[in-house]
Amino acid sequence: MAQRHSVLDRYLGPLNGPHTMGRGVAFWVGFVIVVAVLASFPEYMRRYDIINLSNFLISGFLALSLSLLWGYCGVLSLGQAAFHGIGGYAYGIVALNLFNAHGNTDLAFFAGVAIPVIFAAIIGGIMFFARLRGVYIAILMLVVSLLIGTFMRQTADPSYTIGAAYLGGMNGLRPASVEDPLLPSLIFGWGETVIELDGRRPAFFYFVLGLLVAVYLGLRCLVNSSYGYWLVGCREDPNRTETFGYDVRLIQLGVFCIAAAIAGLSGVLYTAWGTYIHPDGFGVAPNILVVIWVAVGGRKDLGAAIAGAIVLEWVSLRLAAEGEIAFLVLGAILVGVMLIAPNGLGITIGDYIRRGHDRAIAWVRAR
Amino acid sequence: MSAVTEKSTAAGAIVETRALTKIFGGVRAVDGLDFAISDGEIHCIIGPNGAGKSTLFKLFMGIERPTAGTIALDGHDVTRLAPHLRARRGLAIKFQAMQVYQDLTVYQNLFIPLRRHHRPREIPERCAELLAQLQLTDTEERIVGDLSHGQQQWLAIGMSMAVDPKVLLLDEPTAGMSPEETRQTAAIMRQLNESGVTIAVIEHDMAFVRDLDTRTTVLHYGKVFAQGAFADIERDEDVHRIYLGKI
Amino acid sequence: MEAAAEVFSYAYQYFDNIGFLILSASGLIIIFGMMGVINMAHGELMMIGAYITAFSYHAGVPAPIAVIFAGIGAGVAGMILERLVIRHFYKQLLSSLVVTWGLSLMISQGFLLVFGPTILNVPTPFGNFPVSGQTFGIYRLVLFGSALAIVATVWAVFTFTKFGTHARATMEDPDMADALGVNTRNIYVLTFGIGAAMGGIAGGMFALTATISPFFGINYTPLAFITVVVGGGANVITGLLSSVMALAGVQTAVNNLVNVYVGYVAMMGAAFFILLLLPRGISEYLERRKIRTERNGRGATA
Repeated sequence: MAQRHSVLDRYLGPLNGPHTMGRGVAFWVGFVIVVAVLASFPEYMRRYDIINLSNFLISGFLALSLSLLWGYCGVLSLGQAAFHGIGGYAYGIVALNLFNAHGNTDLAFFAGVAIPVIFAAIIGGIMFFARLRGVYIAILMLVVSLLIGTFMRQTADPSYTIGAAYLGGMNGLRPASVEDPLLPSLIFGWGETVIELDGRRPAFFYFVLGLLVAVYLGLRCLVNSSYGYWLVGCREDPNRTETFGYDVRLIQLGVFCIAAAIAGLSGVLYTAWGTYIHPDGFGVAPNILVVIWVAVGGRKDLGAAIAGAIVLEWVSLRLAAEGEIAFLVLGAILVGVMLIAPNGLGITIGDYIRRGHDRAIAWVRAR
Repeated sequence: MSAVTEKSTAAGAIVETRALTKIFGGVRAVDGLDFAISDGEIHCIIGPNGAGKSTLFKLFMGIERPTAGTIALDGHDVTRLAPHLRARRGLAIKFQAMQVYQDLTVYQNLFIPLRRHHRPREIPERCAELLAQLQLTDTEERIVGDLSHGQQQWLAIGMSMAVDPKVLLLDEPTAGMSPEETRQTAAIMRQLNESGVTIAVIEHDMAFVRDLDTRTTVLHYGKVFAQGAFADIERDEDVHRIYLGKI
Repeated sequence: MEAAAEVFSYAYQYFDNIGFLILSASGLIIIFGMMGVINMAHGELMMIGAYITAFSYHAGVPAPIAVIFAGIGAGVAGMILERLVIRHFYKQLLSSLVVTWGLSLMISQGFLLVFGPTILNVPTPFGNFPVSGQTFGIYRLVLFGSALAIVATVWAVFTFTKFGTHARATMEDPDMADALGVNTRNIYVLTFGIGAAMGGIAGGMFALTATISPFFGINYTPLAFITVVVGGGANVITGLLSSVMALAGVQTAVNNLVNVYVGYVAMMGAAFFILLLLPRGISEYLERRKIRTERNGRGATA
């Protein structure tokens, strides 16, 4: 097998490894086809569908962040949406304040990624260095998310303004006064060049798709590098890994911060997509959704987690038309999948395909 | 106290404890122990169940914190150091419980410790060498949980060897092995020792300890009961009374 | 007189908060302390209890009996969940967390679908009593008393009955208990059922003071969890009591000094802080101290 893929390995070496499914020609051809099909959607799909699909892709980032943290390093957080919300608010607050002066949202974009990381470094540093047990970390992160949500919900009082940004309680972030700008979509400025990406337009969809592919491929390199082996070592047996001379706490803290950055990025994109961010993003529902996507898709594979997010977001949207059953069905899917395919549907299906593929090759060779 | 005792010499000691004590819920698992492993030796530790042997290794590695006393590694006090920092000073351990990553492949299992001192592109070659030494050639892609018990034991030893330690602590390396596998394990250990690694080994298999025929310590109730060449230990009546006679 | 009323008001709130936390956490702590599983659907079991109480009450059943129905109903629901789902996840802590969270979502959404978002109410019994001009509800004191009674009952069950002995043996070493002829399968079901029933009783009792909706349970799970982990698993009873005394103290004080939200945050903050100092909870710290004192005592006499 290894020889057959030698050409592929020369170019895709860092992307392939034991920690991601799919490393053969068939997988990469399929990958290119899926991305190409997605990229062609704006050509023939309704605008409404493209807008929704942009949102599904944004969910893909959040799924990636939890897959990395939980699936690879074994650190479960039930409050991963908190970083999404913090990123979204950070983007919004900075954008409202600087947009008039700068004319772009470069700094806001950066802040939306950096501030969740700073927050993660502080809270993660405390939790990991106190050697809290995994279950405690999982639920404490949920509690943190709920507390931030409760705080944000009671900021309807006009005194809760940060410069030109008014937190606005249940109504979400908005300008502090009529002179202040509205919450902008992504607008990148570089010297004279200004690129505006309106959340309602195909350009935004292409940008999100490109960024998702880039983050996915980047994380593939990461998890198949030495760092990926350390992550997996921490997941499988942290005590044993420590006896080899690795500081497990630092490895966990590092991956916690990377996951926060990716979740923050999804928050930035979400806020820019809807020019809207409100405290419901910190509640139980968004947090449990992330866990469902990743657990059902397959936490131990980045691609399976993204697929889980996109497919289940589509299912939710479909079910929403049928009345209030979306969450009930999603809960049932989660419990059912955990019982039948504990590693997630994506990984179970992937294993079947690989075995079938291997058998087919063996059969062809035998002829 | 047995008649066979020799004064443990501080000179040349690579691991040394002073008045080391560990109390679990009122039980003195290790009791004021002064003990030394000399640089370059293979040192066997034997004794009845509950003598504190495994606890001693956990104290060496920093998995347990001592109630009192000190531990020095290569002349430096490491009593308060975290396990990973002791590992970086050249200590490696194979615990009594099987400590391999059950759900990963053999290659993944060895990659993690090998990466401590090797660049990624050197690892496949080092891994193959190590596997040849452990009689596990061509198992790279197998899931460790599918290997036989003896093979998993060797892999666990190999993982500890892979960090190129100065001192290797092996807690019951031959548990569950056939006599032939046990002999091979002794051969691997001697080979490793000749390349300069100090080894301390806890064992219950007297044939194995006799085969190694090296300096031996008998622990009893967390104290040194007897110490010396294995041949002398084996002849000692007190040691027979508390331990060997039972086998 | 003013000062006396003030002191009484503080004490009243303190005991009210203690009773509230004990009732919220007691079922969860049994399941966590004995079985090592954190049941994220605990709040939903309480919600089931609350609904049963409300429906029974409106059907003419006296309130105390309605609460007992709640305990039975939630206990049965808990045992069904254990058999169908939770038993598959005993050795996988994080997976059990996720799967029980999924169950909680299913239960609350199922209730929403069947009963709709309408809010049920049951009048609070027993009326009020005055202390120098202020009125206090008697039922709150009943809650506190019931909380203590529940803790005492559970302690007695696990200490004195054959079931309790078997349960403790099973939790200590399941394989050994199994070899000794204990039916560990039944022990797990029953222990889970008892934990769930306690949740149901708590939910039923809260139903008499709070409004009931399908989302009744959502806020209780994190609260119960915080109480449980601060207490730790070394000793269920001392853990629970020390934990609620500490947390209710912080909550009561900050509630009165600032406001309810800050009081809640302060309690969570205190829980976080205690966990950083004692990562395995207060009860383990107390157990360690007890052992140390015993040893010192023995050393002195020897």
